[in-house]
Amino acid sequence: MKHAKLGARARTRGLVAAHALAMIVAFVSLSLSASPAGAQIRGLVSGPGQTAFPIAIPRLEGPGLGSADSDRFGTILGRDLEISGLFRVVPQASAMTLTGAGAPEIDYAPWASMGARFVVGGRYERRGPDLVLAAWIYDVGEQRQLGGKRYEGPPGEAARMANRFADEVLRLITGERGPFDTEIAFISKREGGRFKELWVMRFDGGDLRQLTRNQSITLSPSWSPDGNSILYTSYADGRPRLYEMDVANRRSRRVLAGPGIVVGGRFSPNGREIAVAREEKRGNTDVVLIDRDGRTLGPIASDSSIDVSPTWSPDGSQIAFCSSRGGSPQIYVTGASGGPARRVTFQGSYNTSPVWSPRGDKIAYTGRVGRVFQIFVLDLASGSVTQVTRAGENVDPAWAPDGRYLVYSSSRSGRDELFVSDWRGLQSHRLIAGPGGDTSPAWSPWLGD
Amino acid sequence: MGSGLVFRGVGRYPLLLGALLFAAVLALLLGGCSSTEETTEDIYGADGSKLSESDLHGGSGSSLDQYRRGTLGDSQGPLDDVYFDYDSADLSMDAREILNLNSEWLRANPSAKIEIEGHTDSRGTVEYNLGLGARRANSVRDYLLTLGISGERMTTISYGKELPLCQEESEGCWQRNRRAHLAVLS
Repeated sequence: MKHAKLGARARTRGLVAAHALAMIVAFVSLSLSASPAGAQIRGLVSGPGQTAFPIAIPRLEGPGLGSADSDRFGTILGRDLEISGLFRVVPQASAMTLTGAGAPEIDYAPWASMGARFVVGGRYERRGPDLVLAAWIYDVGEQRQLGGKRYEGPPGEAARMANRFADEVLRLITGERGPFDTEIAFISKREGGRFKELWVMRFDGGDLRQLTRNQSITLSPSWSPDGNSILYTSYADGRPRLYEMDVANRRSRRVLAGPGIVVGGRFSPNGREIAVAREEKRGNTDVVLIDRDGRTLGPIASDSSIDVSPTWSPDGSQIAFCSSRGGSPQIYVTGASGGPARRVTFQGSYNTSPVWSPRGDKIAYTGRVGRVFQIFVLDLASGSVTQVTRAGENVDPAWAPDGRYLVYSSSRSGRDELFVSDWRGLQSHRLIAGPGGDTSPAWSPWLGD
Repeated sequence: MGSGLVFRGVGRYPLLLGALLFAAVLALLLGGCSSTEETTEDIYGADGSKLSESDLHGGSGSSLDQYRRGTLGDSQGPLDDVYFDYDSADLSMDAREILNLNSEWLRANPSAKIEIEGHTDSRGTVEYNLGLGARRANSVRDYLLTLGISGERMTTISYGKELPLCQEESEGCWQRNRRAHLAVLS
């Protein structure tokens, strides 16, 4: 119940009245985004993986409240920032406190002496049943405050406040918001071990929920653009059907029943259409366009070979997909209303599961190298290809909403687990511990503004 | 209906005869002649509820039903599996030979209906392998049509890489999984 409220709250941006008491939050805007310091740092850091700045995250100040929420804030914030590849957390700071957080100037000496380039200071208090938490980031090198945010919500939202502040820190340092106030949907056998079911969790691994209990085959989740629902394929009634699940109340409705395969449904960026692979004639899987009620709008890719795994360009004008029309599985791009397709992958003999970057300029995909599969990123303008993964086998990439990070399934530990890395693969992190059997991740849109 | 079943392959599988008869009778008793085709709009479990016994144990004896019961691969059924090369839906000479034998059984059991299941090995991605499984199932159906088996008696389904018979990452295991399975529905 708590989860449902949280989920609904997180997603009903416009419907403020019903959930006004909930999380969001007045942002005390100490906006320094236009400051010379911010601009200078932005010039220094264009993306993850270049430099890992040491950042100190001392304990938050706060009276009359157990330190669990505060510690959780620091732990999750630190993990998010390390996953970003831009920071490494200075360990000895976690036992210290920054006094006077929020002031224009603080005592920089202790943080400078431990080698920190940045320090996060903050405090929290109870206001009725709610937690009010404010945090600021200071540039120790430049000796100035870069910005801050204030959040108010139930104490259980401390983790989301940490994710939101991590997003803000990336915005202040790189000029673009981080991808951490989000959720990951995925397919897992983690409960019971035999059946693939649909699961979802916050990016930080918290609020883990099993969404289906079909005890059948469940495949290929993807989010609606508003983050309210997840498209997936299930054999719950014995045959593959496309379903849409409302994440808040966990109710599914059937969108499309083939006679044959229906898989890989992906909402158009405006949310009104769905591209999906369907067995059009017996044995022949094509990509078609349908509306949300499953009515066919037209063909996208209708070659006599295998056409699967559609993915939309962020402007909705083009669709990439995987096809075996050239003799081996390769990635092709066509117009969103069909038309001739052009092949875009030329390295390797098995390239599949394309996902178009939210920035529009890249397509990530799964490609075979020798005997194993790895994640690649294709730059559409130049045609250059970057191999993102090398350890173990890695499949099924999905982009973060900011277009800088990828989540994928990896067997590098000997079992299937979800990993996150920047799109160049300069560093990677396991997303969640567990028994393995985690596959097919899908990264949600941002939960809040 | 059970009495109409004639096990032409019996001579080749003497030890399996009892098990096959038992399985066939059991399937008929438990599931009647119901098919999983077009069952219900409901997706059980969306609200957290579990499948009922009849959901779990009724139906056709498809690989999915066997998987749900935890018995996938325990028994072959009267019709032998057909095997494929990697990333191919073409029928080899061996595959055609097996289908020739299967067609004899189908002619001897004219009321039997089958579902042709296309399966792939574990390599590659989920969605592409579903497409490949569909092609394999259809290759088998096309060939059985040329042998005079009525299309009315045959449905197809792809399970892609989702229902492997074995889990090891070895060529022998991959080959076992790259199959078309002919499930007798009724």
